Amino acid sequence: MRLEYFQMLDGVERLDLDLPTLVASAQVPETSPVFEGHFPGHAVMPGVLLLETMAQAAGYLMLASDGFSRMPFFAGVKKANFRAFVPPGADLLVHATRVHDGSGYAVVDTSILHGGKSMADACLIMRSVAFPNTALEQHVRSEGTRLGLLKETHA
Amino acid sequence: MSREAALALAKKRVEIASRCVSAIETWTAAMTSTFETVARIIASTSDVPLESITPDSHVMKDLEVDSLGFLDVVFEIDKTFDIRLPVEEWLQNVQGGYDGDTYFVLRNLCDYIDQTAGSAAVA
Repeated sequence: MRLEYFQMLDGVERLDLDLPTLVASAQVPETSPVFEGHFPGHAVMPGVLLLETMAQAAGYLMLASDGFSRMPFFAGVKKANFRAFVPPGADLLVHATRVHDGSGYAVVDTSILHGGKSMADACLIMRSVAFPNTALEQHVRSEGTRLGLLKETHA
Repeated sequence: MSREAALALAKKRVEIASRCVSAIETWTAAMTSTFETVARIIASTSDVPLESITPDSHVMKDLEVDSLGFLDVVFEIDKTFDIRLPVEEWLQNVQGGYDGDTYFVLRNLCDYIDQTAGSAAVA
């Protein structure tokens, strides 16, 4: 994780396009300016960043499902639960399973596990639209390559 | 025409008319049921009071359901009727100048749901 860059996922551990479901790894950094304020003397990952982590897993699941042809945007939260404190340095597994494939949107069940224990879960609505520009598309494809979803290409 | 033939013809006409009435009643019942279900979905996913929703209501213009609220409505309709409303195509058509009433007035939306859910059940 690089919290300051909103780069929440480190790599894709498993992808099954039949279900479809994705499992990604994410290691919380030991130190970050985020922890200086959240909270002094009791550093924990903010719930909003856990939510963003789950949304990114949902987004990459959608990207992998449609061959990186459309950009998923986080559009809504049907419900979310934060069940335990996530401390600095925690090794997380982020699960995302698409439960409904709508027209231009999807509903994705997501969860975060730490040591086999559920830390957070959320049901998210993701919209997918055409990439608004090539710069974003290139960035997303580059991130897809970093995560192991796309093969590296050399010009 | 003989009296018997005229009587038989009249009976046939009554029978056909009766079938038409029955078909219309069935269609009306289905429409009413679909409308009630969709109206309940809209009321439960938004702040719109159930009693203010009519078959002539436009989901966005009259009920003021915004685009994200409409996604919630569509999700519940998709789940309830086991269909996939082609909202993306509809929105593109409206942006291209097509009359949105065709899709977003409840009477028309329910009609589409009945046709789609019906054809899915047949298939």
